[in-house]
Amino acid sequence: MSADGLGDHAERFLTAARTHRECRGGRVVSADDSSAIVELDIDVEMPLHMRIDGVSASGVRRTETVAALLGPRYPWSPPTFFLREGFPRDLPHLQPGPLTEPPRPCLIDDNEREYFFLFGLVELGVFHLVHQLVLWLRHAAEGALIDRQQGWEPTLRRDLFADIVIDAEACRAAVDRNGGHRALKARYLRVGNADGAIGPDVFALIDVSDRQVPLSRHDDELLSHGTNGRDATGNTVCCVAWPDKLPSGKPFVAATYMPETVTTFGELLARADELGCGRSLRVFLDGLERWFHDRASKTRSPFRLPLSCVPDGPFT
Amino acid sequence: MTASLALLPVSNGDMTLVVLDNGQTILIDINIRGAADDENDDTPDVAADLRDRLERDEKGRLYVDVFLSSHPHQDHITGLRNHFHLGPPGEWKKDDDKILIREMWSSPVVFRRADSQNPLCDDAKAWAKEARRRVKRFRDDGFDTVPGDRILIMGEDIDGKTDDILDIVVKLDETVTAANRLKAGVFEARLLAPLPAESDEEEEELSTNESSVILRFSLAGGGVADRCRFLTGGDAEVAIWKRLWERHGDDNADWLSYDILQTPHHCSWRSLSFDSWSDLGEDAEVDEDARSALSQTRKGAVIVASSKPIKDDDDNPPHHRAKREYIDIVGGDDDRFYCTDEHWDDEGQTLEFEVKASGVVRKLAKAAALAAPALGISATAAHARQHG
Repeated sequence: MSADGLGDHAERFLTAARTHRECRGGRVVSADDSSAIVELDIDVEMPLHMRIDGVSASGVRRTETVAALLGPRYPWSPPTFFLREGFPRDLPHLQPGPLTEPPRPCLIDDNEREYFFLFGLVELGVFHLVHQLVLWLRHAAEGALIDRQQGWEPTLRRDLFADIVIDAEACRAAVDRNGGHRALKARYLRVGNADGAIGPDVFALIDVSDRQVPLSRHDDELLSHGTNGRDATGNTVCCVAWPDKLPSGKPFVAATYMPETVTTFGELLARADELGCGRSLRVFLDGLERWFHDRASKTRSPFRLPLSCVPDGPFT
Repeated sequence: MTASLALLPVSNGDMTLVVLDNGQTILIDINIRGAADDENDDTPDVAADLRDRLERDEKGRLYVDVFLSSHPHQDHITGLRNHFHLGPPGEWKKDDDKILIREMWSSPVVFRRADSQNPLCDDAKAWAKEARRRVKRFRDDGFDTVPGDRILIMGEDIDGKTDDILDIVVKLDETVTAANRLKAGVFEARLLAPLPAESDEEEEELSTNESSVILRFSLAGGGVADRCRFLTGGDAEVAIWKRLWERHGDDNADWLSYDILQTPHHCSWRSLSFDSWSDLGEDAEVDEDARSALSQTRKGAVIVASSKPIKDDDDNPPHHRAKREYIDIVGGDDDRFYCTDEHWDDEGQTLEFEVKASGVVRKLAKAAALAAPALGISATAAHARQHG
């Protein structure tokens, strides 16, 4: 791909995007051999009393500038849209990611690539993606990204490289009125460089069984680690924690979305506290710590530890 | 069902469909011209648009729960006989497939005779005849009347003509809270006009545009009461708005407040000023009281002219100086002023606002409607998708 070639694609993308009435402006920010960035100024419909303030109650502006990243395979792969840095992250249908990266909206409840090619012409694919972006921003402004009449909606995680396979129904069934946790036996697989971080080059899969484990000090098989070349497998334990009831006796309800930005253990504990699961999670970690103390002199093997907090959300 | 207001593009005329939070429908005026029924004509097919928005009852009849006729003028009632079933509901015919009006809301002018100064078009005569039929049904059967036979009279008539049917008369300044006799807590509409005549001279005037029904709706959205206030006043002219401000400005100005105002008389200069534009031009002055009555905006309110495109010429209505005044009322923000026909020309669909728990939001055009003019293609077969 020559720099000129991707630049031309960027210009054509901008022209197609500008045909949408709500796209009020735009510009090609950069274009080189490997990528191009195009900014689009999107007019966001929002409730009249918020529109006059220029910003919605959820923090969406009347005009949002969105960056579209065209990769080296564009137009054979769809553009990727990024929102501005300060865009609110406590919304559903945002891809999870650290605060150091701009937020990404999840526009389609399906494969974006398939949707992009659904319309035959590239210009139509661009137009319809921009239309989904317009709708996404409008729904974000209204606080209506989730269709409440539908009940609940999964948020797709397109860029995660670590998957947990777990029986969601069994998790829900485990939850009782009092706070608690359940430790479940699991197996893990890690593919990639042992020193690498989970990402495009390192993939991890954790398969959680429905068998509870008591974190017994005498269970030598609780955690194990083995390698086969660049791959690693072993036993681990998965914690499913649920919140304590409130001092008033009422159940804890997670009524608002929290940004999916947890990247460190400390942030995980803080998030568990926010979800009312902190006590249960710490009980589990204390048990695990005791197990480790017993074996500190026996092993120095690494292990994988999946944790899951199950709040009672308004849409579940 | 999302509560909404659709202001259909009928040029200089009114045709507004209010969908309540419980799915009931209130249609305010119609102007379904012959050209709109002609499939070879580019005039928006508002009858088809309306029918698409309505539901059928258990007998397969399309229906509106309420049809309010603001006043019996051609640009507010055209198309009644062609598209709506008139007569006893039992005589509805499947082959005709006309729309059943479950409950009429009518001005009391139906009790007056047309005269040479106030001739009625055939559709207006048909409305008056149907209204009188329903009033007779009420006199005969009272509240046993069924949907299709029901009527409310918007205001008491002169000379005691409505004294024996006060149970179906909405008195001035009072509120209506039930549509087709269903009180579901989803709306309230306050009757602000027609106002009683204060002199014989005024009585002459009250049989023309000044007799328009003016209602201020308060609509629930997403289960939240009073999410949208909508002020609509047919063709009421400056004298009426001035009197309304004199009546309510001090104590009940809130009765005139709105999120959406439908400009009276299709953005006519005569709703804002007693001065003749053709005589005085830019020296013509807006009546301050009338302007005050039409200026009770809630935060972010918008104003809609149900009219043909507004040009900078001497046409009236719509009048460009009136448009300027309305834009001034909404803080000089021309994004908060809409013209129904211009919106149709721009977006290829009816101007519509949705009333939700979060507030009033203008409805976006469908992708197919937007793509067609933008990309030069006839249509695309895509529906808006849920987010992932």
